[in-house]
Amino acid sequence: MEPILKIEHLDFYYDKIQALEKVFFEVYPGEIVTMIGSNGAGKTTLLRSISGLLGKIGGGSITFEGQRIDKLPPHHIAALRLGQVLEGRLVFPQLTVKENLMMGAFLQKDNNFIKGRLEYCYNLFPRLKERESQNAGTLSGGEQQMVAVARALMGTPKLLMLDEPSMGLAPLVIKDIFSTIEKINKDGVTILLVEQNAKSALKIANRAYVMEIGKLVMEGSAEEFIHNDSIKKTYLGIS
Amino acid sequence: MNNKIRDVLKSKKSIAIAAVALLVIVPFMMEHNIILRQSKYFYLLLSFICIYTIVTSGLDILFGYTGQVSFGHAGFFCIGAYASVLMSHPEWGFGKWFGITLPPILTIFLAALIAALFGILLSIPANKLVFHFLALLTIAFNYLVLLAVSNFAELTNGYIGITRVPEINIFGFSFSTISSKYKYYYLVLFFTILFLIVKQHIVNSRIGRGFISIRDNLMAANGCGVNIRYYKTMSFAISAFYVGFAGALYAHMIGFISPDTFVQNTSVIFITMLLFGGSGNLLGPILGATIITTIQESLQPLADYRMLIYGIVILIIILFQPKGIVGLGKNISESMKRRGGEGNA
Repeated sequence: MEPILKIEHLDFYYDKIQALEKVFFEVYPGEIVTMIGSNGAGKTTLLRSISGLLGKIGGGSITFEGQRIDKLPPHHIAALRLGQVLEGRLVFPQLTVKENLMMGAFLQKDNNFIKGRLEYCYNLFPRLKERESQNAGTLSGGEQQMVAVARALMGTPKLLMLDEPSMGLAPLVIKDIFSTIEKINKDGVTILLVEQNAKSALKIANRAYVMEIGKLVMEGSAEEFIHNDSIKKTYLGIS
Repeated sequence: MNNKIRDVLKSKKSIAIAAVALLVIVPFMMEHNIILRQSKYFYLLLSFICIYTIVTSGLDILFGYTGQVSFGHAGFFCIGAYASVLMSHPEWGFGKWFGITLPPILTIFLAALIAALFGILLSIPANKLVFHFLALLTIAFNYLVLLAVSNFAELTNGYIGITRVPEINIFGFSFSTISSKYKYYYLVLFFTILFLIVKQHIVNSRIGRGFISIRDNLMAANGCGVNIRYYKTMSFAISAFYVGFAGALYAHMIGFISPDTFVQNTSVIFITMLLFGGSGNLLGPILGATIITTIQESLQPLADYRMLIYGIVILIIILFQPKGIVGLGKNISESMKRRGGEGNA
């Protein structure tokens, strides 16, 4: 099977500081792949360089559905239906929940289609339906995360990249968000999940990578990872 | 019954319609001495307020909705004024070179388009800049326009300026401004309302959401597929169109233009109006333009101290009421609601 996303030899520099070094990985259609690692390992940089938000990459290639995307501007990449949920729930605080979701379908012009997507998102997150006309900035952290995920889903992504969806949320809310991610995956969306919360991420993932200071240092099935001693020690807090 | 009245009062549309009706009827009654008396000065003041409302609303699209600051909008005001005059004046521009002139009612639109074109040009360097760098660039733009207008005396008569600007007429109906601005006021009012309605449609459309997303969060906007550069350029163009159009209306009303009007101080006044009224909404620019224009006129005897007073006004607003008069109104109504709620409980 052809990978939906293929990263080869990816280098990225912030000015002269190297943030990513020869990153090499693949995501196959239908999978949930998770990337775990501690603070500053370069996980966010990796996602943002894939979606083009950081501009020029230092070297290597990014291929999405057989097409090179590493030289495309971010709005072209978004148009290829590569969705992402940014770190820290970057919602538009002054727009209402509904307007936020409409922003996710910014490139869609067919109103009927947008209506259908809205319905899908409201089914997934009934809470958002209740808060439809409230400004997104007034929502709680968990609700804002729902808005961020729903907004990404409005663009009918084939691949959805999530950057730390659990950040700063209560354990119960995290559980909700992760089970929703599973649901989204069952609806046919491939998921690339970047997480510090390794435990929750490994529970729902098929495969996993470990990232350390700009490099991918380990690869394996989520099952293997859960039982791997060094992973247990470093990332799961079990000794 | 009581509820119905309250509903009517509450709906913003009915308030807007009432305000427009007042703006139409009162000057009419004054002109015919039904209430108060004819007052040429009052019509002039109202016309100025309308013109500056178009300017501030245009600036609001750029600043309030897209989050891009400009301290050089007098440059667009200048381009609009000169472009319209040069295309319609029998002794200057088209009239001087080709012996043809275009009707002013057409040239005010063409002038606005030319201003929009300059807006697009300015956006090429401006798109890459933020905050203070953008402020500096727009100030430089203002000076560039001013220098060009002052020094190409062949084209613009330099510092002396151009007099006897032709008046606007539509199908033979003349909006003469020489003896009284009474008729011209209605023309300006019409365009002001038109531009405000268009503004409302723009900011509530998909384009407007694009603008707001850029203002609120560049990264997230980009991730949603908003072409940042394209939307910033569009915002500059629309904003310049508004201000250029207002400049043209100004030129045909006053009948005389010279570079003095379009100095950078004028840009600062535009920003003051917007900040004072409150940016990012419909009412703010209207209130700002109205209040500042009125203050400006009543301070005529203190002309030397005007900039000082603006400085103080800006300072007070930024320190105590960053959302302008509109924000102040919102705060008051909210605190009244809260108090009312407590009373009920």
